[in-house]
Amino acid sequence: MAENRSLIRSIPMVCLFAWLMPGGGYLLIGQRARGATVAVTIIALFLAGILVGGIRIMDPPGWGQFGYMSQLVEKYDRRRQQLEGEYSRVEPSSSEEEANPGSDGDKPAGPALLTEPLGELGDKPWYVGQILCGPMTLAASAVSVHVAHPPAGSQTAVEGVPQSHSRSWEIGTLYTAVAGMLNLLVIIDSAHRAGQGKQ
Amino acid sequence: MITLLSYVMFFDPLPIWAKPWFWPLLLLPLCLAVAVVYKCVRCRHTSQVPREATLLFVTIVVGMILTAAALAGLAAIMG
Repeated sequence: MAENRSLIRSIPMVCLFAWLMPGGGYLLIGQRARGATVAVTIIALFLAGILVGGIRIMDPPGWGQFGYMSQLVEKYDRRRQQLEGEYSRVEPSSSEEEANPGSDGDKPAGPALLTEPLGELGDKPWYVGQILCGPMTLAASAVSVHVAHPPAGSQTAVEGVPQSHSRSWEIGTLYTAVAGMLNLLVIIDSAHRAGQGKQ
Repeated sequence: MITLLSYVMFFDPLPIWAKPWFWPLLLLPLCLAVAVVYKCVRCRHTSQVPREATLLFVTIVVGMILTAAALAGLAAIMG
């Protein structure tokens, strides 16, 4: 049947396409109606989440409140005039502060995402669900990080576009994370169907 | 009014904070999406999806309403 004419039956390729575009796995194995339905539903749910909560619900691990990479610094004890051996997390509010985080004497230890990846991911576990939506999550995250930068010339550190709070943030994050989890279900099913077709 | 004029869709949160009855309604699109995707995965033929997804959506919503009512009753008894 034309509906089931598949282009590719390689399971890893189907999984990759299913992640790259919701419903892409089904399209690759020739199930166009199923793929189109899933694509429209998951993308609509993702966009609805951003509509309700604002773009700033996309909060990638490793980036701070103002859209710059969070940095770890080893604190300098001015009284004893030596490094304390303890690390603290700094959320820069400018590119200059991102390049030179912390106060005078503090020793930068590098971006928190590279130095403590699990810690950063643990602070924002919902991103695991969101990233399952594929590259559209990465694109939305890039936009979120960009608009978070303080306006040029601002005297105090203030977000360009502020984050939402409370129910707006909760509903928006829930929508996008559930969209990702539904896409995971679709990835698994399309891979299973691709495997069945091979047998 | 000024706040509404400055609202930018998809950048700012939806300006619905003044309407508390609106929040529970936001569960409906979520339930619908879950029902549609689940039935797309489970149904043998996609022609079955609309009917099956509608039934599942109604089941989920009714189940959540009953659960909310039960929890409200429990809270009333305990409170």
